[in-house]
Amino acid sequence: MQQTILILLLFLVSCAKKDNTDEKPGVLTLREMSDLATVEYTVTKVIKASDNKTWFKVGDRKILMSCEAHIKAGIDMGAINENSFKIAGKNIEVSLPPPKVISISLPAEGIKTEYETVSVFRDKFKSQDRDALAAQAEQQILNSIDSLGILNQAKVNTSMFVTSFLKRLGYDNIRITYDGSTRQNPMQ
Amino acid sequence: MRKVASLVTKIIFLLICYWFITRVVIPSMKNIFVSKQITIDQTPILIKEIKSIGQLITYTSFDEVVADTTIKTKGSAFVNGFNRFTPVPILPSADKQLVIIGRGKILVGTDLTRLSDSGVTIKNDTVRVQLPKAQILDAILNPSDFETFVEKGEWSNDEVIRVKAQARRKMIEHALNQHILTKADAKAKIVMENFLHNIGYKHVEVF
Repeated sequence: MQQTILILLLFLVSCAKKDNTDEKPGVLTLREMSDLATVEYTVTKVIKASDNKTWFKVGDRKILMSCEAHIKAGIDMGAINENSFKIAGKNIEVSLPPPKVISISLPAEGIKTEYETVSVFRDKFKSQDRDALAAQAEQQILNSIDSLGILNQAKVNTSMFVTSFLKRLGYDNIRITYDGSTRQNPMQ
Repeated sequence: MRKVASLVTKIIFLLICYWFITRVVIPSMKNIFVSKQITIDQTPILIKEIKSIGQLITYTSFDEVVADTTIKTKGSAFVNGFNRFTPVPILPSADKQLVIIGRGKILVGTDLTRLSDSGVTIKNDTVRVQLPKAQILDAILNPSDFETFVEKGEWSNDEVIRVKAQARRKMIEHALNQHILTKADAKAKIVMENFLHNIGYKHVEVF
């Protein structure tokens, strides 16, 4: 019986939480790119949150914020090479890489607290809390990029931009196509 | 034989106990006094504006900056006055303090919509393009890029915006100190030269 208790104690000791926080720091550097951004969407979103789910906190807190995000999309010019062009006199056929999301920006000036109510026994929302809520909104916007149609608009705008540039270079008949399927890379 | 069976039963019993304690009892007890994370509701995204642009982004500078501000409150004068009469400061400071760490990026490149009509000239198989100068196109510091290190006192939205603007300015300053505009100009020239060579021009002059 003593043996059993000893083994049980050993099992309990082994239950101690292990520290797995070995996150590597990101590399902060300069990076070369060659992205052509042709469309910018400005979108808005209401951030609505209620802090009433913690059982031991008396009273609740509610907040309504609004935020504005700027999303840029376009193509990677680095993927264009001599095989991307078919030229016959004044006629040219250009095959462009698929459009992608280049950047998403939620500037601090565009995030506003519209309404806030806090019970007597609760603390007001701190800057850190507001940032955490806005970060969730940022993620929701990122997840909804497909439904905004920004990649299709980027195709239209890129075609117009390249066509106009090639016309200035003397081409009369310009045909633009896109390689493969469209894909996004919002975190680039 | 009976001893072996008894030992196996004990081991199985202990394993079940171990699983129950580590997976069910300890996590739920540990989380009893942990505040639940506040999650935002799903709300629609409204498209406010769609703008046509023509920005050739040639460099991105990733950076980490610290911005901090201390603001005197109504109680600061009293606390400071009181502490002046004591040999060592007795009362804690009543100033508001905010220290944030921002990890963002600066996008630098050339605004090709500023390319003038006279900026492109063609003569036989030679093309000359005068590109507009590179500029800071975006300084991106999103809410998820900020970490609050110290937050003392109540901070209004506008006060926080001013501290974040300070972080943004620092990031731009760092990027400019790395001669990013010169590098971006050189890269834009290479991208444009490659593009023009690829469409068949033998002699390309981009400046």
